[in-house]
Amino acid sequence: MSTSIGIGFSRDADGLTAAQIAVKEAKKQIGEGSIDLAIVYHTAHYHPKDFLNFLYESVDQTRLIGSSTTAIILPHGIEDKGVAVMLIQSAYIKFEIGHMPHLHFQDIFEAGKTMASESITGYGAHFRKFCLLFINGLNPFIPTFIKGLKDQLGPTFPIYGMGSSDDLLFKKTYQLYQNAYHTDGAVGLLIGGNTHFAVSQKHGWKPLGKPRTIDAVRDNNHVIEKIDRQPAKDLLTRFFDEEAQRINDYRLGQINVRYPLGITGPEKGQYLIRNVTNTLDDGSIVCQDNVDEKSQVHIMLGSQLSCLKATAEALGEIKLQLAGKKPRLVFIFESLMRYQLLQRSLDKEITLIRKALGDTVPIFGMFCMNEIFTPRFHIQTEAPTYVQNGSIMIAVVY
Amino acid sequence: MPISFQNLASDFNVLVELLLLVTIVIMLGITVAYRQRAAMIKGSLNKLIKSFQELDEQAKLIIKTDLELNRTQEELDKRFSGLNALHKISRLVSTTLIENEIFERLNQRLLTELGFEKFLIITWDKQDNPICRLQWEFMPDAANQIMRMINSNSALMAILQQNHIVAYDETTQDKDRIIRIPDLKQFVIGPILTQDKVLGLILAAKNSKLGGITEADKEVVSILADQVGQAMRNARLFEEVFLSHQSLELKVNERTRQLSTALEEVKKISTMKSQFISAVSHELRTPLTSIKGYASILMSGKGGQIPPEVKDRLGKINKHSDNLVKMINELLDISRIESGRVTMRYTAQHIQPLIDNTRDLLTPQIKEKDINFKVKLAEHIPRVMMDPTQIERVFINLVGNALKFTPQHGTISIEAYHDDEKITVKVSDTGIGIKSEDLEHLFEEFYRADNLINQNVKGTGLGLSLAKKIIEAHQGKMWVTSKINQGTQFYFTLPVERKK
Repeated sequence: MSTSIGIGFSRDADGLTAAQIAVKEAKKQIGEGSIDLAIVYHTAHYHPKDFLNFLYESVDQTRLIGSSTTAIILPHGIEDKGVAVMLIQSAYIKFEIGHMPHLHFQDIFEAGKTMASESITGYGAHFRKFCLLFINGLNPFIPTFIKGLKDQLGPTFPIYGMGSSDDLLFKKTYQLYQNAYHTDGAVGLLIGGNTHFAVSQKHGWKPLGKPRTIDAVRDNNHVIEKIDRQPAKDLLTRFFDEEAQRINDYRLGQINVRYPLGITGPEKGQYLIRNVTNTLDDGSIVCQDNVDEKSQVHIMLGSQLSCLKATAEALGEIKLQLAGKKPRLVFIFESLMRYQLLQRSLDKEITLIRKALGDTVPIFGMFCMNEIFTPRFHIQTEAPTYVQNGSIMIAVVY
Repeated sequence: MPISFQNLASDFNVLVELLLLVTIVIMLGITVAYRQRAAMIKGSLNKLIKSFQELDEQAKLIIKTDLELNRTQEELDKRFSGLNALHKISRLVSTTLIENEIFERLNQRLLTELGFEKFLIITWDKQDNPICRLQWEFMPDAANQIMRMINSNSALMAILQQNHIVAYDETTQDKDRIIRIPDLKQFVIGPILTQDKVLGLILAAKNSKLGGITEADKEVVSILADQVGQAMRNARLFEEVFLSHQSLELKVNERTRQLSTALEEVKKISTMKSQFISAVSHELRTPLTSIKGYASILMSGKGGQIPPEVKDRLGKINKHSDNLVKMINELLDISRIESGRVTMRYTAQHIQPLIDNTRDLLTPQIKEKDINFKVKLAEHIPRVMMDPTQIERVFINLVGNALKFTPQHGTISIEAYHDDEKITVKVSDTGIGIKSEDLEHLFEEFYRADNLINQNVKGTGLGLSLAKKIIEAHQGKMWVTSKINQGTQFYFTLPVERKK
């Protein structure tokens, strides 16, 4: 038996109806037989309580995970409203899922460990290939949670994933696990068996101006207090003058979307993108993800062209890894920043992906708050897992 | 030479001094070198700092230019995409004349393309009550809340009446806000207007914090409001025309009903008249037969010799009785035809023999007046379905009338032409003609045109009426045209024989 993948979607205003239509369409594509995995994405227009029980029953209580998102990426394009269901039926790809609710109330490292153990226990003796993680994008402790996961899965184990997003109000996200949903949780999917994957992540932002040093951070490294011994906000004021004041008015306004911070990464010439989400009265700036003290920081510049170029580069890397093999399924986790930056060029991006990986390949992606990525070239030696903003991550199962 | 301790000490001192001197010189040299190096380093450092500063300045310039470019691009994108969507919307809403359908056609996908995430369209009904026509992504409570506050919000109404498009976002001062809706941070309100009245409003909102409301957004809402307003105007005008048409139709139906009733009444009266005439005619004919019989007996002298004066009077009685019998017969014929009591004996025949018979019958009068009698029939004139006896009566009547009103040496012609359905016969003369005011009454029973000839020649006034009734009984038509002193043309049609 080969692998069958069905993707259904509906933007019906009623959540239950949308789920019914989506699952029916997906089931129609995979035909008869038991379902091994269901992944559900829904935009913030819907509440999971309206459809999750129905979906769980519809897929015969098989493994079901999912996440809320700002927009869904499907083979035909981007959908900014709707419920999407992907069903997988496979004899040789093995799946197991785990979850962890209420992250705020737990030791986050231990929580990561527990979730990994849960998944491993259920997974059995099959060869594990990688882990897909859906976690509340508003949680400030994602790197620690990942450390917990890797403590169990192994320091070189590749983890990919994303921070669930909402309707850009940055208030509440959902993580779906079987017939339950969490608002500050994490769900994980362990994939392995007789399968392979290719993966790449790029962002397309370029550094501008002189390098500066982060002198002081606080609040789990999310708040930068001083840059070059000056209040961090001065960096924004210097470059954006009065525009810097609007950063509080429009959380993801022009400045955040187009000119994030670039923190020098562990690799030479690598920049981890950090989205500035707020400025505080004491002159500190709040980043969407953690920033290490003493790291160098740049204002970064991006454009639709550079973002699309980055997508093309990521696809190039993937094609190299595929070495002519046919992709079975494409996962895309793309930053909200790129969603805003690309806007009407998002369709061009889908076209690029389909052109590179095949017109008929199932594409199932979403826009997220954070992208979690383990560089492929590290896998055989050491495997740092980064939390990034502003990037596109493409993971291809083949 | 012996070495004294004193000398040694003195030499040592000199050596030390020398060493000190050398050291000082070296130190001085080093210091100078270091100073030079430090100056060089400082110079390089300053250059580096300056380069960094320049780099920052360049970056600042790039960002400023980039921001401007992006903003312009976004505005252009918004306008382009908005206009594209507006074009589609325009085509949809302008092709319906039903008001409800205008809003049903505003589908969500098209509205999304306008760049807003929430839409609310409210219009006022004839009693000025707000009606929610379209509510997309608004909570039902929010829409009701807005509708409740609209009529009492004079500031909002003033803005709508002045055709202002207003936009609010998080930077708008609180005091300037005219409408407050929870969780509605950025929105545009546009009035839907006719030339003299506010029909409603469009409220378009953005939910997320992704950039503010721009001029392009306001423009899009303004155009959409104009389109919806225009479509509503058209729909309302159509409704008015439709209603007035309906009312007109009702009136026409009512009048038709009245006319039908009147017609029925007329038919009823006509039937009664026919029955009356028939009855009276029958009743008159019997005594007339007796009168005529007795007059004949008296005239024949069977009742004894009568004086010539009496005989002359009896002759007049006989003649007038004949006229009366003719009139009664014609009346009876008309009555029978009207009541359908005459059975036409239809056969397929050419009209030529009927025309020949008529000419033969009327030859004495034709000759007497030296009338040029012409017959011109179209080639291959088809046969017609007719009762030849009755149609001959028509020819005799028409030609007889023509003879009566055509002076000496005049012309009477009979022409006939045809199409697939019918033949048309034209009987024309060069007689005195008929006044236009007489023409419309010519086929009425007992009507006699007012002219010198009619004053001198007796007639029943029933001949033309009878002829017309005969033609209509054959599913044909009869009509007349005439000009004074230029002659008269009678036309009638008869259906051609249907080929099986």
